[in-house]
Amino acid sequence: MSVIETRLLRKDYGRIEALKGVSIRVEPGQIYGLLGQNGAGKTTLIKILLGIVRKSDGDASLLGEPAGRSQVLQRVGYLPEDHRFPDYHTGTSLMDFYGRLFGMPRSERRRAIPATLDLVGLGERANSRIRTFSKGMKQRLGIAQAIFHNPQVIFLDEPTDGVDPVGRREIRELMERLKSQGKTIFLNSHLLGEVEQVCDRVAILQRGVLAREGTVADLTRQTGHFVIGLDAGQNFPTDDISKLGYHVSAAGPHFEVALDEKQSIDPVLEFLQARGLKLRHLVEKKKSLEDVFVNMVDEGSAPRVARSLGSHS
Amino acid sequence: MMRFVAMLRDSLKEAVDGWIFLVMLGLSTLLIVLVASASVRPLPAASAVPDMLPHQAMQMVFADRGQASRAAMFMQSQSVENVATLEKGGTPWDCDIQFTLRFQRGFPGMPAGIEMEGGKDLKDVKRGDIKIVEGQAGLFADPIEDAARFWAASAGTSAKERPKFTEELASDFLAYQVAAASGLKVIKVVRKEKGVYEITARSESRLRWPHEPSLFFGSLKLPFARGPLGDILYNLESGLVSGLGAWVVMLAGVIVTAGFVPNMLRKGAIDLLLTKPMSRPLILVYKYLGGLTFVALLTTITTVGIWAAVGMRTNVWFPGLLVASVPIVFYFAILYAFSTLVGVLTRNSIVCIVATFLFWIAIFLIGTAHSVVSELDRVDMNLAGAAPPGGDGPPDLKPPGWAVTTTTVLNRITPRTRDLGTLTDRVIGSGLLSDGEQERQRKKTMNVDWPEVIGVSLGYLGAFLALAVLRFVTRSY
Repeated sequence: MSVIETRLLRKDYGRIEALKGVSIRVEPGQIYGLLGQNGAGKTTLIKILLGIVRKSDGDASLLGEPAGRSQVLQRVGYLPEDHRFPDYHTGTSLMDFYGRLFGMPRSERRRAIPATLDLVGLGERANSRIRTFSKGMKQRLGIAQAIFHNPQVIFLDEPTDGVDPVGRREIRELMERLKSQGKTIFLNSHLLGEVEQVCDRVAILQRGVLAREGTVADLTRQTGHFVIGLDAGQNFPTDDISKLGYHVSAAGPHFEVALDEKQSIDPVLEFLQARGLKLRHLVEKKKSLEDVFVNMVDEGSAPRVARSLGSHS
Repeated sequence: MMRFVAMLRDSLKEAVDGWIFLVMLGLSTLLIVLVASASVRPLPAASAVPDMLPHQAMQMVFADRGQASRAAMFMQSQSVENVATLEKGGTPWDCDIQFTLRFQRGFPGMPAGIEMEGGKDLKDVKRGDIKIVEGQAGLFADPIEDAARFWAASAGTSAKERPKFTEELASDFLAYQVAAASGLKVIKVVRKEKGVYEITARSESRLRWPHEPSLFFGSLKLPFARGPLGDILYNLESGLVSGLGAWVVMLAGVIVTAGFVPNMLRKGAIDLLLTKPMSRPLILVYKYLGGLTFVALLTTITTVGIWAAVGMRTNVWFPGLLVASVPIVFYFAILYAFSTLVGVLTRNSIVCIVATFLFWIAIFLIGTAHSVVSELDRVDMNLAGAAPPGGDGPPDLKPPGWAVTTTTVLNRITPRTRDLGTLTDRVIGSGLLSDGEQERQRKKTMNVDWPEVIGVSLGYLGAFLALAVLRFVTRSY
């Protein structure tokens, strides 16, 4: 059973179409990244799944229940973007308040709250008023309140916003630890490098349409480009390779060989071996997620899905 | 239950966090300290007895031994002389008191008296009920003899048919009249000479005995406020709790709680609540109850504080004041339900405050207009027909029919907060005021249909909340 599933999900705000038939599926134990420009519909999608926003059409389910059912929220954690905690609380009293709303027994709250605050690095400020917290500390508190009740699925909307580099690394490690515990994480972030590092699958929304969806490897693969390096002192036979019908260009100390759709890299490798040249570096070139995203935005590319949704089922 | 308590605690934290709460707490403490600094001193019998026998009360005589609504006002005056307590030591209200009551006729040329029909209250007298009797040889040729005869006769009996005057009749009449006017239990009446009587009496209770209040532990005496202890305490408690106190609580309560719903609905805050396993109606209703509980707590603390301070200073522990906080909280519940609706619709604290105050003023004005118009309509005291020959009567105060209809209809279809205030006074007055005063208060609210008052108010409260919930449930945030 999928943890999250949407089918042809639509949301209209008057004349504005925020989501235009988005279909995604998130499996248990995945870290799923949602990318998109501002106004692409990312937060709307999350809010529909959590019942904060009403859908206009289509289907959305969370943990097997139709989105918006309050009972299912018992097993869900959420860190909203631009959260605003009641600043008359301390870290501990806020978590205690939310714990009561989740129906956590007193003993469980007493155990989980200090442990989680310690985990996010707020143990020493647990009893300080939230109004005295920095932005980064509030963000850590936001993560703590999203995970302390042991949810099955966690929605994190810009979790590293305002957090310093060390803190970001800690949050990434935390997400990986949660994943290893079998939690499903739905991550919405502008930091593409971050998404690339932790996410199993990524969806890119563009103007309310699902533009790309697939694994990070799928999205960043750049087919037909290989970077080759030889042993020190050996010269790369650029002219000979070109005569074989390949396009060769320098790539730093190495050389990049570009293939067309019908070509294979194997003839090049056989040629080098035949000439007694020693291969020391061979990498199929990849694009970064940022390249993919920026190119997609620049091109205003027609939406396409890297892998069909049918491949999941 | 755990979730309800959590929301309640959160609302209290939010309320306590603001500076207005501290101001409210300060005012409440100030009020309690002020009451705790008040003291009362019983007046000696020589000063107390004349105070207990006001002229107007002694002049008003009701036929049929005080049971009829037909009344006459005798234009005599009386003086109280030779007041003495018959036992030494002890409090004056525990002693028999003796005093001389001397009656004198009014000025020659003045009407000897006025005879009227209607209720026992001047306000109940209607047009045409009043007749003025002129001349010294008329009905009230002798103030006491004619008064006693009028008192002993059935209503409507002519002067000739009334019982003849006897000393026994005079004793019975004065025993009744002094008791009705002063609250004293009359033990004996002895005629000394024509128009002069020696009365032996005893106070009903300490509450009916005149006292003089003072503030700041006796340093600021308030002679203008002297009267029966029960009346002083009623005025104090009614003025502070259902008067000034209620207004302060309402005013500050509206301001403090106006931000609760808009703050909850702020972007980034509401998301955190809506993603908890609670239905939206519950979230809003719990938030409403949280605000209400805050005001209920503050009102109760203030009321109990004043009650305890009064009790400690006077040793009077009537529980009426404790119950008085209920109508005040109910009054606030209506205002807060309206504020909640405006909060859900606008998500703006300032708009909530302004709109709630406007609503409050509107229902207050409707209640006041209805009270004034219906009172004028009821009294309609046109003395023109009874004016002395050649004299000008007062203007006709009867309000136009449309005003009566409009204010009556508006009052019936809006929350009756004015009636709730009257109810609060009645609750405070029970046990403190004299039987007569309590009866007067009861009559004041006799025509109030309490199930309708509470029903209409609850209807508004429910409608405001239902609309707020409806909007909250259907809205995307």
